[in-house]
Amino acid sequence: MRITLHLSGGLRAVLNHLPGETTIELEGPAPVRAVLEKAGINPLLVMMVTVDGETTDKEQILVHDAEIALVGPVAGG
Amino acid sequence: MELKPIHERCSGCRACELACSLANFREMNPAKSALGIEGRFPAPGDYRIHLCDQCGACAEACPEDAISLESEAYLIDPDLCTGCLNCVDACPHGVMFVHPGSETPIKCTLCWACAEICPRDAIVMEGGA
Amino acid sequence: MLFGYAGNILEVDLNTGQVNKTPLPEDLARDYIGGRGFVAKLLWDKIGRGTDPFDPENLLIIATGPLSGHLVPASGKTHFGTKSPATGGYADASMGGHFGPALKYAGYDILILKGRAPEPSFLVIEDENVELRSAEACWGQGAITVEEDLKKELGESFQIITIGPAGENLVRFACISHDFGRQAGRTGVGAVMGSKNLKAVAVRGTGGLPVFDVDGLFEKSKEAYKKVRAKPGFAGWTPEGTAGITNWVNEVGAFPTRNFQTSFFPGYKDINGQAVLERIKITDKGCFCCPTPCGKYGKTATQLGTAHVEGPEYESIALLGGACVLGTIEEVAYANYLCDELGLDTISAGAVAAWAMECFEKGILTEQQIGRKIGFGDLESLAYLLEKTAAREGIGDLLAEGVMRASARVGKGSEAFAIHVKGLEWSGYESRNAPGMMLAYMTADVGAHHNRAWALGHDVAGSAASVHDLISAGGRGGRLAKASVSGKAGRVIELQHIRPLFDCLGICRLQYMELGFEGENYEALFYLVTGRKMNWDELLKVSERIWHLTRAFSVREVAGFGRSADYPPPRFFTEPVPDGPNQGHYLTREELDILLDEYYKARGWDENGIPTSETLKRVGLGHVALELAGAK
Repeated sequence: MRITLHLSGGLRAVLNHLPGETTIELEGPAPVRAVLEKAGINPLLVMMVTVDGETTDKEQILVHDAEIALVGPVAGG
Repeated sequence: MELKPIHERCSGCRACELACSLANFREMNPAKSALGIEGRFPAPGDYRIHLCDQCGACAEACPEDAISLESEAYLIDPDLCTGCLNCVDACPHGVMFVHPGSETPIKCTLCWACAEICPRDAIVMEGGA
Repeated sequence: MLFGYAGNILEVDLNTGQVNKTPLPEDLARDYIGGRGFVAKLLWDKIGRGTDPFDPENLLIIATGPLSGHLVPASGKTHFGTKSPATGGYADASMGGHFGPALKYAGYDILILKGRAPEPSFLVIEDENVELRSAEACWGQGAITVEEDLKKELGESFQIITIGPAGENLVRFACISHDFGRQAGRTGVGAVMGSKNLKAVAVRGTGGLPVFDVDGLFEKSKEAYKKVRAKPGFAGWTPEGTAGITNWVNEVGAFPTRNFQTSFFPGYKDINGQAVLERIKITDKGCFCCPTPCGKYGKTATQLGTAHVEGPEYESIALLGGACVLGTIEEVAYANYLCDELGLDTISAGAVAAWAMECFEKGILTEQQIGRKIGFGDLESLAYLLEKTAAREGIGDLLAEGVMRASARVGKGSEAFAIHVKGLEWSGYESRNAPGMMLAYMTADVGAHHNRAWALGHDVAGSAASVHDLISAGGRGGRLAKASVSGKAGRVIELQHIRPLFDCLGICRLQYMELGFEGENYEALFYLVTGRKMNWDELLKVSERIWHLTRAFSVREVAGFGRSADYPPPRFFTEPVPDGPNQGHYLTREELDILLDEYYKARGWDENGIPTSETLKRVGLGHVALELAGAK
């Protein structure tokens, strides 16, 4: 599967060695968590996940190519 | 083409009111906008978008024939307007606005600035080519 | 000509009803920008040394920024400032909604309220007309109820701020309410308003704002909104708002639970963002010109009744849910509603109630003293404590003082778990394994608040050497490694300049902080609105100046202020976290000292945490240095 990862500003602030957009290839089906591990992104830093525009979580199983947006640590108000 | 409100998407931000006053008057002043956002709180807890639907009731009510249909929008000719405000009373949606700085009421000109700015897609353009 | 600003300061002497309108000084705008900058400068200049927070001579300052009321994301923020009844030092609170823009359209950048009205009153501002009216009829009523009534009486287009009974009764953590769910929440600004016998301020304006390049700004604004919408996090952020971080905060073991005894709440999925979205939300409700409405307005039903409420957002979930251990989102939302009507800051109220619950559990406060049995995880207990506190009745008179004063009065070891810094109760991030966040809480100018520097992400990122260490250690029920205490000061200081900058500009920081809408966009918008070319670093320098100024204010006003005011409660440096992902961790007193020493050095403060004359002069506060030196 070809997974395109978009990293939010908050995430890049703590992972500043990674670009805003990254593409990962891996065998499906696999959970979002596995994509993060392969990309070298600590799952504990990912606060919110959207897959193809829909909010979901790190356990979501991916079965085909997808666009994933990762939102990093943010603060309440 | 017409402007259609989708009330349930409105979050009450009123960017539309500012875009309207900027587009029509080059002013940063929501009191000079031709639409209004109404919050209904505490209950039912939502927003209503008050928007002109170009029904023409204002034109019918005008004793000076100052309001006429230009393409798809009813527009007020300020040179003919005497400020009698009959159109304001006649408007069934309460979207003819009066501002202390202007004798002529303020009315939607179908410029789309509100639809263009709305970050919630709560005002959309519909129909037409 | 000051583009962007309304151009005037409105000062109302509530003793006499006298109204004074003066031009906004250009050097004030130049050196302090607006909002928090105006507050800090005016508090320093205009409050007499040693003024009691409840004295009529204390000021309540309401300040907008140059971008407030303009078509930029998200320009509804209004800044409130005063001398705090909770800490005795610098106090401010940032409020969303629509009030600040209305003040500017009426012609005013700043509203200064001084004195005390002879009888309960409310202020009505309509362009140049300013009038004090009697509030006898609504004194005693809830903050939300009064806004509803005033909107009916005056007109829907008025923007209104109100206080509830808590503010009237000078509860030290009373808030100011607005727009059916927004607050100037913390530091007791509501109590200061109550001490002035002022129930509400209603504003309506028909004027426009001067813009340096109106056509250029309109184009840039349209572009700005499109850019924000294109950010990767845009779609994910809005549905749950800040409540959406609840899962994550628990996963990293930073969730205040049971009066901060521990930092993981097993029942968190019943009080998280998904619960808000699926069980109570009606509308995404936002502030003026905001593209990412974080407000979740909804309806809740519990055994105590049903209510409409905006919220709960994350902090309320953490302090009313976690700290008081409420088990369902419905109960948390109802407690939130009670706080909103009574006019109580949900954060402090939750922390105070949790302290009382622990006191009862330990036999430090008895059933007789409290008036009934209370307990964690019990909405009725919490509701009882909130009502009593707002009324200052029975045990409420003690709790209304806040945990610092209440625990000092009660003693018996209750100070160890009075969770505050400087007298302001701790907000939603348990930090015994988050040294950066701990330092942020210790050094925030207003007391234990996260708003100045949210460093938790960096703490978590540093928690282990590699991705794989963290995967095995945490997030699957395992234990997180201990975070390093060195190298934290730099990031905390950076954040302490960036985040409050938005409070000066009069806009929300969310699009920048959470979605990564870049600083250069704000530089461009600032220029087009004001005609001033300031780059990001120059703007941050103003923010830095203000940081030292607010510290200096507390040095001047709080007896013995210094390093000793920067420590967290003993719970955090003596009790290891008992369970959850951070089981066993805490920060020792020595480790706290490492954090402070590094921070003070980087700040240019002495070992007691006092800004040196050299530092003050460097940031353009030479006159402040002289005044502080003269006071010794």
